[in-house]
Amino acid sequence: MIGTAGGGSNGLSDWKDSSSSHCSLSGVTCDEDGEVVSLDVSYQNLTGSLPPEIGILSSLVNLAVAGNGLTGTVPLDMANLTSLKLLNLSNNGFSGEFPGEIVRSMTQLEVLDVYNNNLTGQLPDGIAINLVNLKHLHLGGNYFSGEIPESYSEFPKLEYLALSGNSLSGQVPASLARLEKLRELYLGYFNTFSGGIPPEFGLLTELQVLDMASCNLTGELPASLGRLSNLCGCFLQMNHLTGNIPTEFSMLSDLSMLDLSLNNLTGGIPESFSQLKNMTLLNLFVNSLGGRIPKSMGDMPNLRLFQIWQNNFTSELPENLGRNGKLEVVDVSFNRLTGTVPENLCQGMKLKSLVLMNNLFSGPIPEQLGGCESLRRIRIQSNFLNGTIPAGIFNLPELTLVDMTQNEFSGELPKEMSGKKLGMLALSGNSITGRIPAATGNLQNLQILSLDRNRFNNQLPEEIFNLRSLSKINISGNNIDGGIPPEISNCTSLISLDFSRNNLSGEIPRGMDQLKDLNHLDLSENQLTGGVPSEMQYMSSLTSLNLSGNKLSGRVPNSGQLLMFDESSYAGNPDLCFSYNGTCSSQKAKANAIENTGHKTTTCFSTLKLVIIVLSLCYQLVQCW
Amino acid sequence: MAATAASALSLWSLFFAALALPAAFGNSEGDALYTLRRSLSDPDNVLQSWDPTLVNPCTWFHITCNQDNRVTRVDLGNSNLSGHLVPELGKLEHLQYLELYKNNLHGTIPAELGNLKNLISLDLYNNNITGTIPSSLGKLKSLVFLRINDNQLTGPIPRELGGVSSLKVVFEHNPRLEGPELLGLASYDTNCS
Repeated sequence: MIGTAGGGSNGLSDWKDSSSSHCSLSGVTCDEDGEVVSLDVSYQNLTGSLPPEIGILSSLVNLAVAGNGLTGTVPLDMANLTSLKLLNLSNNGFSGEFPGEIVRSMTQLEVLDVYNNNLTGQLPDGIAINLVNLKHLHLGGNYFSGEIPESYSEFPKLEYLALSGNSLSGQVPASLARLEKLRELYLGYFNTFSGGIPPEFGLLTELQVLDMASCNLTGELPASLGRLSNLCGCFLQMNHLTGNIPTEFSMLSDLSMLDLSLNNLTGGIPESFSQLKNMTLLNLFVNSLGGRIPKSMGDMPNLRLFQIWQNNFTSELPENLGRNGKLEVVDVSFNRLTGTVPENLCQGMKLKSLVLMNNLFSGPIPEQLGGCESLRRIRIQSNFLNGTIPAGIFNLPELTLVDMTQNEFSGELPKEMSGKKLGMLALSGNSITGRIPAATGNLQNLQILSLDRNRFNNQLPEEIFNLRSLSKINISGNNIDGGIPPEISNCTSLISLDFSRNNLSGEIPRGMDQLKDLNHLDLSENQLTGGVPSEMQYMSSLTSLNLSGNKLSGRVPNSGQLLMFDESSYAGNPDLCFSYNGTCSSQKAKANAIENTGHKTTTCFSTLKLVIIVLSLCYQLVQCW
Repeated sequence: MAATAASALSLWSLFFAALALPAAFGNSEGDALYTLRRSLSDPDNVLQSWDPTLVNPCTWFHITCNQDNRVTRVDLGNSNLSGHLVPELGKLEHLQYLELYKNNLHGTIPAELGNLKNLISLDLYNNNITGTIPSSLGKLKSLVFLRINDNQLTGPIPRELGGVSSLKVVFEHNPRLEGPELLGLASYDTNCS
């Protein structure tokens, strides 16, 4: 029979030996009469289809062909297998319909699993009355259409029912509430039901998992669900639910995971939610919830993931948040929260993700976060946070992303920085002072450095340009002085460079053409002198150039990539001239143009002559007195 | 069988939640970019930060977004990538810079790139791209740089590209890109100083 199925992995190599008794083949178990009672050829890389001959094995109690590449229809002859207790066809490519006739006579059946195939048509009907022993029914992950049969409420022993991931429609039958023994119910994902969650589901007192996510549910959360004292996981996200979170939900003493995100819920978090001692995951994001977060929620002993972003919550975060030592993810972004950042968010050294952005938080970053070695992401931009950024943050070993843009941070950056995994450091739009530390060059994996619009002073450390991965640097709008370090041409990953609006002096370094990927170069509004280096014409990757508002002089090279940029790139440099409009006289060109060899010795010499003439004039005047 | 242990439950449900979030909540731009990631081979792990469970791709490295969290730049030049481009890239409606040069990309240029109406720079040079230049690129009225040199492109440069006024095409070192339509279209790098 397996010859018909074809293919196979080494696990069935003994099947090729036709001389041995069938009862000794791998995956086959016989009873004392030599009848096959169990056939398990799961995950054996089989292909082909299930032949109708399977119906001959009428003593079969277990039949499992899961996890192969089997295709074709499920043969109706399987209805002969009336002794079956377990039928597992999951994770194959079976197609066509799966009518009730196939299993109606399998009165001993306890487990029926056809999960993840390509079955179509209506759900098998007329089976509940016969399958009095059925405990586990998984029809999910197929293409079944039509409605959930009312008769599905009549399985007397059903503990697990999964119809998720199909194309089911119609209302969810309230009668499913009669499944007294039901522990797990999965109806969500890709189904598009009409109506809402039947309030009768509050009668399913054995229920541990309720998953009706993403199946087009409308209406409100029934308060009766609060009676599900064994409920551990409640997943209702990605629907169109409205109304409030019932206070009765606080009675769900076993509730560990609650996901109501991506709905249209209104109202607040019930004050009594802190009673949910077993709560580990709370997802309420993208709703229209509001009001204050109950202070007592900071005392929830098991809370690990707290995601309430994009709502209308106000007032402070609970002071004790994190003191349970278990907090891993906090995302309260896009609300209207005020007050300070709770001090002990990283009490248990488990905090991975701290996302507070776009709120009204004030006060400093708690010092404890400077030692929070588990931190991977800090996104706290667009708040009113102040004080000095704790030095330890720049040394955290797992930190990949820091965005503190647009706050009121002040003080200086630390002199030591060793964050090996830091990829993005964004501190724009604050009041940070002091020099940019040379230690920034120790952040080996840094790709993005945004320090613009602060009060940095002193010179640019050349160590920054040792960073092999640095692709974007923006230090515009500061008080940086000194020159642009020539080491900049070593920083060959640079794509975007903005040093505009500082006090940089000296010349544009030679060798900028080594920055083969540089797309955006803005040095505008500084005090740069000298000329536009001629090798810049070879910077073929350059698409945006701004040198305006400096003290550059000489002839702008009239070829190569520099032809792409018009006067606006060079405006506000009165001594720059252009070949194409005759603003360069030939003498001035010779005197001031930077050649590929040598410096502007002619200019120096002219200036020296002028000084000598002035001095001799003064000497003569003195003599006349 | 029925799983009752809380840890098994949490793994299963969180996995499902993580899977379903991008699909139904749909940041289509993140989905499109993740489709690109799946069609690329990335030995240097340049795309490590491309996490599809995040709400949008704006914190992915090598991606830049505008203030509305729409992708404006994809910077993957010189990144040791192989594999091929995907038509889903055409969904990045606010994309201005598509930088994929100096990799080992093969396959063709998807015609869907003609939907990138805000595109300023399309840099595919130094790859192994085959096929022809889609005429749909003539719809890219904002395009300034089309650098497709050093590939395996054939066929004509589409006449439609002539309708893009500020376009600079760099096309050398493709086996059989044909000439006449270039007149008045391409500016030649002369290296005369």
